[in-house]
Amino acid sequence: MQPFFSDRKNFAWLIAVMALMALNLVSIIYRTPMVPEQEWAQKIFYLHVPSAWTGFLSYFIVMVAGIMFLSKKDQKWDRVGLAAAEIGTLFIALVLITGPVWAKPIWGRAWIWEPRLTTTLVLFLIYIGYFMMRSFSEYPERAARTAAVLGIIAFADVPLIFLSVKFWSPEIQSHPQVEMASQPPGILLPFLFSLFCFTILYFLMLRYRIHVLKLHDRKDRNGI
Amino acid sequence: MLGFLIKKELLIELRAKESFITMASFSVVMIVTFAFTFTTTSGRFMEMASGLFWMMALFTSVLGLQRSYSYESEFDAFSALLSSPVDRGQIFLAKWFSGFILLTLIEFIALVPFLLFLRIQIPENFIQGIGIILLGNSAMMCLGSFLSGMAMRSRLSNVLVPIILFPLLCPVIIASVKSTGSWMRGFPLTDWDTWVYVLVSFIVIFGLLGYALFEHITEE
Amino acid sequence: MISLEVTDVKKSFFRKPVLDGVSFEIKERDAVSLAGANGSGKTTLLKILSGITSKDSGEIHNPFQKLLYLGHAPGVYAGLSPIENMRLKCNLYGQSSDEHLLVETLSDVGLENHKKKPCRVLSQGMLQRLKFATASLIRWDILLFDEPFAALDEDGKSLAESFFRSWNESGKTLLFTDHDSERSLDLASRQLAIEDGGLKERELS
Repeated sequence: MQPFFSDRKNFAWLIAVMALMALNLVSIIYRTPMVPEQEWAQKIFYLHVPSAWTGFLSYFIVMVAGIMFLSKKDQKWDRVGLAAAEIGTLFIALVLITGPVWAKPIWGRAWIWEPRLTTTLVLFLIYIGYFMMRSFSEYPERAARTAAVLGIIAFADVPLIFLSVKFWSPEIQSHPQVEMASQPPGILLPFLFSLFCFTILYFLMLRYRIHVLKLHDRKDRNGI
Repeated sequence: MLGFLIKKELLIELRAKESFITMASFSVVMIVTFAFTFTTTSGRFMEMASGLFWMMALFTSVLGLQRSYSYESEFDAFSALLSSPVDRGQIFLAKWFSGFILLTLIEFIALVPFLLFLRIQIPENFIQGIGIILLGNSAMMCLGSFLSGMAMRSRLSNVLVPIILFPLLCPVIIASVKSTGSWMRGFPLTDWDTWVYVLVSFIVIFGLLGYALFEHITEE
Repeated sequence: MISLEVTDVKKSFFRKPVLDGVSFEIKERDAVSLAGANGSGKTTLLKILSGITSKDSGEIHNPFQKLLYLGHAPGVYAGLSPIENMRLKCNLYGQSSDEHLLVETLSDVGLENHKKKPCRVLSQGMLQRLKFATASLIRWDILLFDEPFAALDEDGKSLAESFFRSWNESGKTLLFTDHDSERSLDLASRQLAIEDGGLKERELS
């Protein structure tokens, strides 16, 4: 099996994604309108929201991979689930970092128990447990099975977590992206572009990670 | 069959009384610790009562969960159970229901020192309160007995269970605390029935998932 | 005549195959012994057949109604007494548990003085005898017995052998693992051996 980027098609994807992300950065810095009272702080939302979207998409993929693994018992789906869990957690961590960076100048406090952010935090904690469960398992085959089940359980819990944190402190103001409708025009297009770039980047990362995990498995099996 | 399995769980507990004694004494110790860590003006405790109660319930339940699978692994009795002609889902239900019975029993015993030491008055409409406690316990033990079964064959399973369980239980904790608090302040049910729905849907979702998936996590 | 059919079963641990395509058949009234070096996968195979361990791939067709698995570990609840454990087993297998029968069965294996003690205080040999009591109490159609002669004293071994002889005489179907090939020759009608993840039939000489 050759390295992932030796494949010409994959290499082309890498170049394309890099170009897209560079373009996205330029668009965010120069092409988006300034939001009154928030100025530069608001620009982080072009990264924050797409990260959240990719993170949740990734955890959704963990669940789907879990269901597939339990029904098909194919190692392939375990690799998909693990790769999606790892990359998802990376993006979710990014959400948890960019959230406070924005909140500090705007709300005056770094952490606010805002429903979406709180749900993200709880999910992040669940996935910390997911990785611990994997590494403390007896042997990899059993780890794969418990991970698949945990991925399903975790995603099934998301709506309930969101609902309960939302009603838990209803006085806290909602996420500014909800107010986007009242913002100056010209925000939507660059935002959607950023969302698109992140999604493409995500799928390239996912495929790359799956490839690496496959090499790991092969190495383990051959006992090198 | 389910009846036999629940009877089995309770019989083992009755013989050893390990979970019962540890859980009961732990909950009393927690109540006294609450009294020491927070100022003892009774007004304060009234405000925090619902939170303190569920904190006690949550930590106490973890002790029970650990015991309920450690006697399965001691002589590898679990393998014998799995190989017998019993539906795996029913094993899960038996673990859940017996854990629920045990936890509820402990809580009602612990309620005496809880109300006495923290000088808390319960409202007159106590049927609703009992309903909330039963729902909360049921939701906690549902996911709890599932996850402990899953962690049973892992290293560090005692530590692993609360780390995974508590964040997953976050809807249950919030809903139980909120509904108990509203009930204690004497609000009508219509004001806080959302929380009852959250608890009920949690029990339904994870009860069904647990029943369906238990087979996959019990296989070695 | 019904038979347990195993086709190309594979199982790996740590990505290393333990069972690498095992196929065999156990017919009704077969008494099969399973040999193999330590770590060759005998226990894994038994656990897969009884549904405790999952297989990675392959087919198992088991038409036998009631399967009894007696593993290497005692397989009883340490906090309960032998008699309570036996009663529980009866319930699990859908049999009535007559008190007299339970006591009698325990006396047969020499545990009459220990029937009320928690199993935790019994010795390994006594727990092994308890497995034979279980095997004689439960009306199984196929028995999977891992190391039936482990931890037994001379007296216990001859008791165990007499159990096997009576099962052979009444034409029961069973599969057991044993290291002693001479004894297997005596007690089994067929001998299988696991070597390098595969299964071989040994000719009875």
